[in-house]
Amino acid sequence: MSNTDDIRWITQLTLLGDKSAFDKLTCKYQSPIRRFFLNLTVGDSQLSDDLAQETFIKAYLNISSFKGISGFSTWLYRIAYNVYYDSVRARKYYADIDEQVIDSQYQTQNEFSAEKMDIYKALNLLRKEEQTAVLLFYMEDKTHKEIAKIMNCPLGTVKTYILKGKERLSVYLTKQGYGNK
Amino acid sequence: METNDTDKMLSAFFKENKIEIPDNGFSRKVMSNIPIEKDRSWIVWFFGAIGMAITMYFVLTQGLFVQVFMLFEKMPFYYIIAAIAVFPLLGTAGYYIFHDKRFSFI
Repeated sequence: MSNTDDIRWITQLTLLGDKSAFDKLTCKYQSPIRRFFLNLTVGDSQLSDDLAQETFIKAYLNISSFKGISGFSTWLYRIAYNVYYDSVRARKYYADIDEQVIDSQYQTQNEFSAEKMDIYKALNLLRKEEQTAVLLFYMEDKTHKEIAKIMNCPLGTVKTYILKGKERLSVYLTKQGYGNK
Repeated sequence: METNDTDKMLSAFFKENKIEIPDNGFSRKVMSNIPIEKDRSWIVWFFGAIGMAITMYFVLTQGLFVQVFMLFEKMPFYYIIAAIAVFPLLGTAGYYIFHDKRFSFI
């Protein structure tokens, strides 16, 4: 399915009010958006699903502000990024609670956790911005330019986030023996 | 480690950990939580019908079409053009002003 399909579905939704067109968009993008949140929340599947749902509802309510300058996927990730950082800001109130303990509890609860511990441990070494940039670049195959649009920051900053993230991850993964595989 | 090797290692690592999450009713849940917008299109039809009724009244009792036609006949052509152009210009300006403020009439 291409970007042409996205434009067609968005047109159907905005001009004809066809909700089934938005259902198709949700089906197409649910996996990458939920995966993005799942990695950002280091395996908290319940929270990532809630954030993903909020993202899609915001996208639906603001679909008329989509100008089509960037792709729908980039626009959707931009909303997801904002939703995630709003949630991080909201949860700062609970910052005293040991996040590591909560993370480990969630990791034992979600179905993907067993074989994903390494990636969550690796991502935990990075700052939030570095996590986002690295995930978008390596996991979601976004270009530097697209990441800059999603994170609403200069291209140079995105490159710095990725470079720093890459350095930290490479040290960790080499220690874990990934470089020798 | 060389940058290219690091890139390859990271690409392989993330590829290995890339999962496709099955829908399992997620889309249905999203669609069921989408707020239902109240249909207010009846306002357009209501005022449209009132406008039509008033117009018909004047057409039938006062000979409105004849009067309007005579008015256009006497009016200079550029006045008509200016009058016609005012609506789209004001309409467009109004749209952009109100649209940015997320204002809607209906």
